[in-house]
This record gives sequence, C-alpha cells and structure tokens, in this order.
Amino acid sequence: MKVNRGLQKLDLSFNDITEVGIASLVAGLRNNVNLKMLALDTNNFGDKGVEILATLLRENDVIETLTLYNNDIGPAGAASLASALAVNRGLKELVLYHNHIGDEGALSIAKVGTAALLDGVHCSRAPFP
Amino acid sequence: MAFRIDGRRVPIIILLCLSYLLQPSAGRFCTDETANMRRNSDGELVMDHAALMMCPQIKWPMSKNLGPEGAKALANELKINTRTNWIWLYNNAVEQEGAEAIALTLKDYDHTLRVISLYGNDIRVRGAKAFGEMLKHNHRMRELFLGANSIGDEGATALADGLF
Repeated sequence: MKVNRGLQKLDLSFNDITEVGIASLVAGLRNNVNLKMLALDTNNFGDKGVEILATLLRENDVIETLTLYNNDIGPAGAASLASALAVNRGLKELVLYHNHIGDEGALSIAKVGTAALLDGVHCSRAPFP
Repeated sequence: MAFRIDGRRVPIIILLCLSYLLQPSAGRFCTDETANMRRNSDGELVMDHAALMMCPQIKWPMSKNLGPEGAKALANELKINTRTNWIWLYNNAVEQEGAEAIALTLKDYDHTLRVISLYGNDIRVRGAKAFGEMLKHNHRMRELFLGANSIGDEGATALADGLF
C-alpha cells in the first residue's frame, strides 16, 4: 500500500477540472485517511462531478471542509450531495455559493445535514465573499 | 538559574524567549531580499543559504518574479535547508520546469517544508505530475495549494495517483 500519509489540505481551484478529473480524485481519495480540506472552486465539473464527489462523501468521514463555489451546480447536484450527507458524519464546512442550487437544493441539504455541518454551509448567491 | 539585570533576577527562560523574539526573522516573512539571489562562478543562480536558514517562512513578492530559473535555485536551496517550513510563491511564473525542480527536491529531501503554495504559476500537467510523484514519497507535506495552474483533468489525475 502506498497511501500518502501526510497531506491534509489540497487546493486545486481554478484548474478547469471536469467530472473526469473528479472521478480520478475520488478514486485516489478512497483509501486516504488524512486529507481534511479539499478546495475545488471554479472548475468545470457541474452536477455530474458533484454526483461523483457524493460517492466519496458516503464513505469518507475524514474530509471536514469541501469548497465548491462557482461550479455550475444545480438542484440535481445539491440533491446528490444531500443524499450523501445523510450518511456522512465528518463534513463541517461546505461552500456552495455562486452556483444555482436554488431554494429546492438548499432545502434538501438543510433537511439532512448534521447540526455541526449546517453551521458551516455557505450558499449565498453573492459571487465572492 | 537566573541572571541579574539592573539588580533584578531574570529567569533564564525569559532571556531565551527574548532572544527568540528579537532574532532578525521572528514574526516576519523572508522575501527575495533575504534570499539575495546571485550568480555563482558557474553562472548558476544561487540563494543565500545562511540567511535562509534563519527563515521558517518565505513569501516571494509577485513583483519580484521568481521565474523558472529562480525556482530551480530555490529547489537547490531546499536540498540543504533544514529550517524553512512554509513557502508562498503566488503568481511568480514558476512554470512547468520550475515546479518540476521544486517537486523533485521535495520528493527526495523532505527536511522541514510542510506548506507550499504555487497558486497562479502556470505549472500545467507536467508540474502536477511532478507533485503527484512527490506525494508518493513525501509524507511530511501537509498543505499543497496548486490553484489557477491549468492542470486540468490530467493533472488532477496525476495528483490523485499520489494520494492513493
């Protein structure tokens, strides 16, 4: 086994990553127990990429911060996140602003998130904080 | 044990703290001025090793463009540097070659560096691949910031391979 044992934060924002890159990242992180923060802001993976990320969140309780702003995520992406968050117990901060998840998507997450997570969900419409 | 200053007893631990706080680099980032890059007799860019050994943190200003050649000098410095733990190279045109040199050093020599940012340095797929390879061997690196580098899916895949 060659699992990286050190890395805790990885920031790959603004890198034109699509769902293909997300799939590799999810595969790479499947056995990782150290990474606490993953930043993927302003990439290009949309709902499909989020659906793949959601499969990781179902299994991984180590990641505490996931930032996904400006990724063209709609209500469908929010719904897949919500279904993963129903079983995830690790995530404490989720950044979703400058997407278009709408009220429906926000509600679906609000229904399932733990109290600890909901304190750290950022999904306003403002493009930048 | 204590020393006397002005007739008062001063515990040695206080003196040690003071000497730490008053050292030239305390609480400040070292910059290009500390590194004082120049060419050696072989025409290679080198950094001031003695000065950088006083530096836990290096922040290179974007106005003093480090560039690929400077990044190679930094990579060489990191081979022997046992002090620096944090490097910030935001927007410094390090490019593929420079990123590769830094990643290669970090792969083979992981003395103290824990955090590195190469935001906006056009390191592309080649740079990302070098960092992915680095992650397979370096288990001390804690934080890696590689945003805005056009690494794309191929680069993300290479980094993911390193995280396996």
